Amino acid sequence: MRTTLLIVSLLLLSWTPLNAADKPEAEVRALIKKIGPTPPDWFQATPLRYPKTLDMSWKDTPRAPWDPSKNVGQFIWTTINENESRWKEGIRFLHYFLVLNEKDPELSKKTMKALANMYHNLHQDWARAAFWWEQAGETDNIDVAHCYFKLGSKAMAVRILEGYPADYTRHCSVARLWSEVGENEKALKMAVERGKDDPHVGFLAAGDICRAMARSLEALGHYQKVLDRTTTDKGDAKQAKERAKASIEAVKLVDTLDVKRVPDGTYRDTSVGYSGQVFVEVEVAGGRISDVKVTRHTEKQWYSSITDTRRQILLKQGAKGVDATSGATITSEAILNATLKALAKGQK
Amino acid sequence: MIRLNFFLPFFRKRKKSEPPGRPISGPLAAWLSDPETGRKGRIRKTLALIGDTWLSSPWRRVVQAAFFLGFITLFVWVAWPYGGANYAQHREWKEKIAAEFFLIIDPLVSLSTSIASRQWVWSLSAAGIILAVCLLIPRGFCGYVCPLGTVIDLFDWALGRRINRWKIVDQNRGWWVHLKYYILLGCLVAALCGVLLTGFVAAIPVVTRAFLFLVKPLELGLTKGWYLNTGFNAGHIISVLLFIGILFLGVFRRRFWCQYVCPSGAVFSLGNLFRTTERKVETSCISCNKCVEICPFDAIKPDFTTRTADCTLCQTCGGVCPTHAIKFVDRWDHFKLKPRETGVERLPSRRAFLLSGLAGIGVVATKAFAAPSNVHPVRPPGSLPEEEFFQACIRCGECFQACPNDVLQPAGFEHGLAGLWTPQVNANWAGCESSCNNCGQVCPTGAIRALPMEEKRVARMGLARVEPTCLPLAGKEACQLCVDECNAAGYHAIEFMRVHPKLDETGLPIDGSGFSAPVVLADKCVGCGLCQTRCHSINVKTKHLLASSAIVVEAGPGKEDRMSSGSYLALREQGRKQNVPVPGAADSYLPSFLKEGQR
Repeated sequence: MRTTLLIVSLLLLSWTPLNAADKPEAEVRALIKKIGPTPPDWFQATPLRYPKTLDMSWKDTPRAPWDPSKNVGQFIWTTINENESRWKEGIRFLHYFLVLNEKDPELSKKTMKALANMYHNLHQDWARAAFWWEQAGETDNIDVAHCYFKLGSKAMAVRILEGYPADYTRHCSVARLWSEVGENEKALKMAVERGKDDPHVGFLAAGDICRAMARSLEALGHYQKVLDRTTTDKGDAKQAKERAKASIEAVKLVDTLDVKRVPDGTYRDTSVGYSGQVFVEVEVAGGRISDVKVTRHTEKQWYSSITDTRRQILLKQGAKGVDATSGATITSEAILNATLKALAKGQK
Repeated sequence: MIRLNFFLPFFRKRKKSEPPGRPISGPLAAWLSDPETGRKGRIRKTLALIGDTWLSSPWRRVVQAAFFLGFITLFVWVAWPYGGANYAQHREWKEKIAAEFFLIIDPLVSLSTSIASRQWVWSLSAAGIILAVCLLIPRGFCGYVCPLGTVIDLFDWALGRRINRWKIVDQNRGWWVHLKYYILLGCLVAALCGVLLTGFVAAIPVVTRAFLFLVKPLELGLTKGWYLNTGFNAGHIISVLLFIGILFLGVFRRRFWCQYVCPSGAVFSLGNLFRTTERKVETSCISCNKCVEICPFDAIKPDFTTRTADCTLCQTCGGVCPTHAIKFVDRWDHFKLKPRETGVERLPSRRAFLLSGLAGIGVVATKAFAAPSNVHPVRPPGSLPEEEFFQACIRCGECFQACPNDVLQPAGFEHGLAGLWTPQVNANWAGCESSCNNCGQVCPTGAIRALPMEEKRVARMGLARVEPTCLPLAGKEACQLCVDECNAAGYHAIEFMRVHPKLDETGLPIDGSGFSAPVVLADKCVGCGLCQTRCHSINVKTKHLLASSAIVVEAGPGKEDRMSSGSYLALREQGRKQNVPVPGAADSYLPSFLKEGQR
């Protein structure tokens, strides 16, 4: 009996993602070769749409005024990337553009890089992304490594990662990928190292890595460092600070909120609902949420969400597992957010 | 032979000549009256306590009360689409009930609309049915059904009878007794010239608007919150004053409006020419004058015979007659009739008819009621083309009541006299709910077409436009309220465009820099205004970041679909076919240098 259990648990262990992910290199390469050159199944059904004003030679015009109706790269950046509904069109367009300019090796390479980026960033189509990176001659960048890992080969990813002794990427992508392949300690060390030079890049990544490891308190510390040590507000720094703030709030609210640690009393906070502020009053008694009241609101419809969300919060004693009332998501979420914020205020 | 005696038929004192009937005993005895002595039983005592008219003709009062309750229920409960946990199911179920029931049976509503717009208006058939019923019960609509009549009865009972200063002495019949015919003629002449005036004076539109502007604010405030009331404009005030004026006509004589002024009543009076039943007085009349005193419609001549055009067959006189001389029988029944005395009856004046007809033409000639061409208010989805819309909209206000969030609000004088009480979208207040098509369902004249949901969802009421003040567009802060709102409603008609990017040294945009600004897709936007509502309520009213909504819905040529017939779905499909982008070469996937490598 015991041996059976042992075998079963061993079998289960061997099924954990990491082990399963390690496919032989040849298999991954075969996969890329097979899928890469074929169009995605939605390709033919996707219309080819682009502004007729586009300059189809895609000249590099760094000093020219910003004009997404002329410049291909700017069109992709302002319109395709921004709208999920246009992502397939983006692929369609880039392939058309590639064939159109196939005689121009420089431009072809540039287009293939853009394709790879789009397959990777927007479609999470790892095989095609890897294929087009390879065609463009980019075989050692972090995105290719990410594709290989996603396709099942940690070994291939690690081989590329090891080529980076330190992380000088803009968003600390090397450290983040180390974390993703499971080498969290290595990743954290690298991110913290980067934080010494660029706190808003390194510590933000460090915080994210800790959060992925469910080390909430440590994560909060790193995020705080982003706020404390970043001296500039230029470029990415401002955004990094905002993200750190948002992360701190999220970690506090969702991960560390424990009603048992909120002393008895009434807590109030607000959040923006459908047509204005929703004011919520939360009563805590004996480590339990005893009541949630919407004291003031100007919502014009879907009153059901007010009673329904209250009922769910009381039932679930918190935010986890509370579904937004159908059709009244905004009101429902506002009540939930205000409740969480109110409770976070009181938590010790 | 037809006998329609339904005034208190169960009590009649035994005549001396009749043999005594079986005496009533048991528990019922106390309730019924004594046929021998004529002593009132409990039923008659209770009725007498409520009032003479209840005692004389209780059935009429019961029917009246039932219809009035029905009117209130339809108005307050059916027209409001919400209630119950499952919104869609609840609405679907309510859709089967005609909330506009009373409007479609007011014959003047459909008749004048039909004349003005030169179209068959579907509610004409309902009006035809009620007129057919009135062949049997002439002008019965006014005595039994009309909610305005009931409100006037209540007013007269509560207040009108206590104000005696201006009371017109009984039997004094001045020029005003035929006013209703003149008003009717004026309205119909104007309608012939394509101008619809009826909504200002027809009974049911008047009472519907009165409820809308007086009862609904109270109901909303008490049951759902005072902040939900939209506020008053000149249109509200005029309508309320008109209604109060109509009620206060009661200081002259009870039911003054119904007897002498109401043009809807005039249609029934004319219908009375074809009556099959009428009130008859037998020779047993003792000329006690009780019937003349109690008649609420001034329909009894001094000789106690009937003014047949005005009698509503309410039968109050029958119940009050001590000798049971009044019968309600078929028109051709001449049994033992009291002879008519010759008296001079005031007849409608030819000159007044001529004048009222001219007045109708005069109103048209001023062009004050013509559809203005320079303004383009956003109309409800499925509204007829503007000119036809003006000829068909009776200004009853039912669409305002049916609109769940008061997206539709009555215009005041901002588009001139013609636009008064017409529905327009106030998108700052609320946006058109994507799962609702109530306004078209309740419109009694088809000025707003009754569209199925799938048609309504593509019928364009307007087009949204992003103002330069838009927070992300102006580079101030991130905001995507309008986009979220549009996507949540399922239209997906606003997409993003990245603006104000920061460029690095090489001229490439820095990832994450700049703002995502909204761009309206004209082929998907239906102009529901949800985007404007959200921007206004959050950015303007809550956060005070803007002076006015940065995305606004506008109507006008090319921005809305206004069709008198045909499918909006087909229209959109047609547009889509015209806009098909040039398809790229079918094999534009692999460049040729890779194709060779593959082989």
